[in-house]
Amino acid sequence: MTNRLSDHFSNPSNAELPTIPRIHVSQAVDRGFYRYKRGEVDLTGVTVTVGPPVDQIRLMTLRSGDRISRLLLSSVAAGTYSGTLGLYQAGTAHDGPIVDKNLFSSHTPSNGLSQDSVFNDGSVTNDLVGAPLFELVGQSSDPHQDWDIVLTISSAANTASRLLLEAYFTREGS
Amino acid sequence: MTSFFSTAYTQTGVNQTSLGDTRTMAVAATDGGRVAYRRAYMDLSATSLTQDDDEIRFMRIKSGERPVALYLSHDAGFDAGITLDIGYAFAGSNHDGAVIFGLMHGAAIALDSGGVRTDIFTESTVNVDEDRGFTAWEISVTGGANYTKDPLEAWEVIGEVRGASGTGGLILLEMYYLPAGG
Repeated sequence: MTNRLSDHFSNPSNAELPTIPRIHVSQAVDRGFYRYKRGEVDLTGVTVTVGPPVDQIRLMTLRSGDRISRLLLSSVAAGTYSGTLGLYQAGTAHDGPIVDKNLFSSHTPSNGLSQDSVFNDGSVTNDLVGAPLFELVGQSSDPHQDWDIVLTISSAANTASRLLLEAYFTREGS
Repeated sequence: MTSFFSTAYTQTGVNQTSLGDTRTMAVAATDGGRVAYRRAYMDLSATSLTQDDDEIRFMRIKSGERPVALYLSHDAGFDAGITLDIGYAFAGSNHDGAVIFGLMHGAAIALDSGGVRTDIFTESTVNVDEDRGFTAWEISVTGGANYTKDPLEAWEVIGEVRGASGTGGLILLEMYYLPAGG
C-alpha cells in the first residue's frame, strides 16, 4: 500500500512518506473562514465605449494572495455591451495597470446573467479553485498587492445595465 | 477612458465615475465579511396542512442580516397541489408575529415532486440576483415595506401553505448570510 498525500500534507503533492518532510498547510485552505464580497454597479442607460482609451468597470478589490472558490456574475438584461473580466493592480486610486485583463474571459452582461459562474470561463482551470490569485496569473510568489477585478469594455459605444459580481473566497491569516 | 466604480468603492454604484474627495468604505459585511449558515428542518410527513391558514416558521433572522442564498429541499411526500409562499414575518412575542411580506423569496413553490437545494432567493421574482447581499430590511422594501433604516427587529422566514390542503412531507431550508455588523 502506498499513501498518496495531498497538498495538505506534502509539497509537492502526491509524495510518499517518509521522503518528504511534513508541512503546515495555509490556514486559508485548512479551516479558513469563508468570506463574501459584492460589487454592484448600475449603469442603466449609461454609454460605455472601447475608446481608446477603453472604459473600465472596477468591481471589487482582492488581495493577490486571496483564494477564490466561487465568482458569480449577475446582470439585468438591458443595453448592448460586453467586456472581458480580469485583474488590474489597484494602484493609488484604483487606476493601476493590467495584471491579466482576460483571466475570467469575456461576457455579455446585456444578455442578462443569473449568477453565471465565471471563475473558470477563461484560462483558469477547475483544479485552481481555492488557489491564490497570484498562481492564477502564473506568478510563483505572492507580490502582496491589492488587485481589482475589472470588466474592460470590449464592444463599441453602447448602453450598459445593472450588474453584480459576487466573490466567495478565503484569506490567509483569518 | 472612464472608470466606473462599484459599491465596493462608492456609496451607490450608480454611474459613479469618481472616487470623490471622501473615499467611501463598503460595509464590512459585503467587503470580505464571513459567511454564516442557518439550517431549518421539519418533518411534516404525518401532519395535515391547511391551505391559506397554516404557516411554517423556518428560522429567526435579524432585520440587518444579509441573505446571499436560500436553498430549499423537500421530498415528494407532500400531497398533490400543496404549494408554499416563502417570505418574512415579525418574530412576535411567541413566533406569532404578523407577516411582513409573504412572497419575498417564493411564490407558489410546488412541493409534491421533490426538490434538492433549489436556490429560491429570486424564485418569486420580487428580487433579482443583483439584490443578493442586501440587508433583509432593504429586501423587504423591494416587497413594499416602508423602511428607510434598519428597524433592528427580530424577523422570521416563514412559509405559507397555499394551493391545496393535505399531508405534508420533509422539508429543509438553508440560508447563507452575512451577519449584521460584518
